[in-house]
Amino acid sequence: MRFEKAFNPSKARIRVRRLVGADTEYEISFTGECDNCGICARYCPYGALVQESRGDA
Amino acid sequence: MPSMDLPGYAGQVLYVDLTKRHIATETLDEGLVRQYIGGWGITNRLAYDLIPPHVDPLSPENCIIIGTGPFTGTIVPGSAELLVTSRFPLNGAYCTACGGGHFALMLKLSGYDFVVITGRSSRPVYLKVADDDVQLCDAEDLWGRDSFETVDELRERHEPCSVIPIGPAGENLVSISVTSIDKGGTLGSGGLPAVMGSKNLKAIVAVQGTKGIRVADRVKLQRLVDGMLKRIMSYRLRGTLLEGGFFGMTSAWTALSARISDNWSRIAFTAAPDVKDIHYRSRKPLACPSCPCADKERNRLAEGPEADMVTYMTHYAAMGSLGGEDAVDEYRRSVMFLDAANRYGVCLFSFGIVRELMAFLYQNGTIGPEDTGGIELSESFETTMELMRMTAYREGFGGVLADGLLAAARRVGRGAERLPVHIKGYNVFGDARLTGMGTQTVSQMVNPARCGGCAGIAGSMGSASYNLGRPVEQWRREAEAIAVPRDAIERVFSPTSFSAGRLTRYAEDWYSLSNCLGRCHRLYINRFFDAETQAGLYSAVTGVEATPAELYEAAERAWNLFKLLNVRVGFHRGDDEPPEAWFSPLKGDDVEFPLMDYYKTRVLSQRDVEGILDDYYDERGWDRKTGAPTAQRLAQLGLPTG
Repeated sequence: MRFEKAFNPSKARIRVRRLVGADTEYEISFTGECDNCGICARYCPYGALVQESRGDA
Repeated sequence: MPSMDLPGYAGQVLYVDLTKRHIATETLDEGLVRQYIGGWGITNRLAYDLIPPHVDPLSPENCIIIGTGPFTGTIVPGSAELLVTSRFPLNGAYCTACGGGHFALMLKLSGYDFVVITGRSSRPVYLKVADDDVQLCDAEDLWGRDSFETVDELRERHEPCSVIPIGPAGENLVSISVTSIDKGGTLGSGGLPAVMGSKNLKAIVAVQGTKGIRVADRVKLQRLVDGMLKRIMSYRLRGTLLEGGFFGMTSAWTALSARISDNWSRIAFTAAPDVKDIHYRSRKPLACPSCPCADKERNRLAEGPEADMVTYMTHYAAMGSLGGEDAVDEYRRSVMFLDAANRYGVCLFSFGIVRELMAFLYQNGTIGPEDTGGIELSESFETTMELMRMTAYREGFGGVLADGLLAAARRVGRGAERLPVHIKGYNVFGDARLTGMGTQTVSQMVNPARCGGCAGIAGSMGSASYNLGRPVEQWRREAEAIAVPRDAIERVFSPTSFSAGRLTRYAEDWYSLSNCLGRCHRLYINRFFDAETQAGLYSAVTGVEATPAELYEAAERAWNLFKLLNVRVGFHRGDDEPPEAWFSPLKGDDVEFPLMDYYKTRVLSQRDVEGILDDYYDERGWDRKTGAPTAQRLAQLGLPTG
C-alpha cells in the first residue's frame, strides 16, 4: 500500500505463500525492497509478524 | 476497455456465456454504484435486468451473478464477503448467497467487481479468472470428484487462487445442495451448486490478480481501522473465538441439546456430551482476509478410530444427536457427518429436516420399506450417513430427499404434504416457541427468499442479537448506534418492550448495507461497526462523502429490489406466515412452550402474529394487504414500478 498506493499482494514487499499440499501452512518472506516500515506487523492481528530493529534480525 | 475510476472499485463487470463460450467485459456503470453502492445491491439489480423473471432455475437462461463490495480487499476488518445472486431451485426464490474466504479479494485483484455467468456448457468446464486471462477450462477429469478434492486439484494448478467448487450433489442437481469457498465456509444453501451443475460448471477459480485495489484516503482509512482493531483486540470473547471458533461461541446452544421430535410437536432435553476439550485440541483457526476473528478452521481429529482425519467447516449443528457412546465418539461422528456433507455438497440443515420428516412418517406407518427401498428409517448414524450419500447421488430413496422438504412430502402424498414445518419451503432456524418472537424470528418470516443460509436471517442487528431476553435498553442503544431515525425509535420502543415487526425492518437494512459494502455480518464482527464509523470508512475507501442516512437509503433500495425480484415471481403476504405448528404448544414431559413474545410475557395468537406482520409492512411503507412494496415507495427509491 505504501509503495504502490494500492492493496496489491503481487507487488507487496511481503510475500505470503501457501505451501503445496499443506493448505493451512504458509511461508512468509520479504523482498529486498522491504524497508522495515512495520505496517504489515501493525495490521497482523495474530502475532505472526513482529517488528524488530535491524540489529535484532 | 477503460475501467471506472472510482477508488474502492475494480471498475469492470465480467460476462461469461457458457453456451457460446463467449467472454466479455464492460465498464461498471457508475450510476449503479451511486444508486446501490455495490455487492448485493448491484447483483440484485443485474438479476432484475438480466434474468427472465420466471426462468427455470436449472435452465441455461438463469444467471449466476457474483459480486464484491467497495470494502473488499481493503484493511477494513471482515471485508471478505462474497455475494452470489441467482434463482434457486429449492423454492424458486431469487436469493443472494454470501460467504467469506479469499474469492472476493482474488477476483477484485484481477480487476472485476462482478461476474455474470449464463448459458450451459456442452461438457464439464471450470471458469478461471486471472487478470485479463479468462478461460473456460476442461473439467472432464474433475467431474465426479468431491468438493475438497476439487479444491486441492485446482490449487495445484493455479495457486495462489481461490476456488468455488461443486461436489456430487451439485452435479446431480440436488436442490438441497450447498457449496463452499476454499473449504472454509459454506455458500448457497438451497441449490446454488445445482445451478452450477446444470450449466456443467464444475468450479470457479479466481487466481490472485495483479491489478491492486486503490483507496481514496489511506491515512483516514488507517486511522479508522486502527480504532476498530484496538477495540477488537481487547474484545473479551476474542480468546474464546480464536480457541473454539464458531463452536466456541455457540457451545451453550449445543450443550442444551433440545431435541424436537414428532414433527415439531414434542421436545426433550438431554445433557449433550461435553466435547469442548477434544474440539479445542483438534482445531486450527483459519481466517478470511482482513478478519481478526478467525472463526473458521481446519480440524484434525485428535483421537478415536479416525484419529488424524482432516476436515474443515465444523460447527456441530448435529452434535448431541448422532448417538455417540461418549464425548469422543459423538465428536468423531459429528466430524464425519459434517465432512461427508461438505464433500458431497449437501446442506446439513436441509438434509436433516427432510430426513426427520421421513423418519416420522416411517415411524407412524405412513411410509414403509416399500417406499424407502428397504431401508429402515431409524436415527442410526450409519443410516443417516447412507441416506446422505444416496441424496447426493439421487440414488433410490435419496432421490426423494434430494429436492427438499416440500417436494419430498408431495411425492409421498397420503397427507404428508400437510406436515412440513417450513417458511417459504426452507428450513426454520430455531423454534420460535423456544426463542420468543424477536427479530431473528420475524426476519425469517418476512425474508423474501429464505434460501442462501444466513441471508435468510437478517435479524442480527448488533452484538449478541441471537440471545434471548436482552434488556430493551440494550436493543435501543444498538438501534441508535446503527442510526435508526429518531422518529422510528419512538415507534419501535416502549419503556419495557419493542415492536419486533418494526425493528426487523432496520435490522434488515443494516444487514443489507453490510452486503452492499462487502463486509461480514457475523455478530462478532458486526458489533464493532456503527453507522458513523461505517460512513467514514466508506468515504475513506471511495472518496464519496455520504451520511449514514444516505447509505441507509441505498441499503433500503437494495432490500426493496430483493423483495421486488420475488414479488415478481408470485411470492406474497401468505408466504410470510409462520408455520402452523407454531400455534400449538411444543410439549415436553412436564412443560409446554406456546408461541410467545420476545420477553415471554404473553402467548401470541394467529391474530397477534398478523399484527406483527402489519407493523413490519407499515414500517417499510409497503402494502399491508399484499405484503409488497407500494408503487409510491418504489418510485421514492427510484426503483422500477411497472
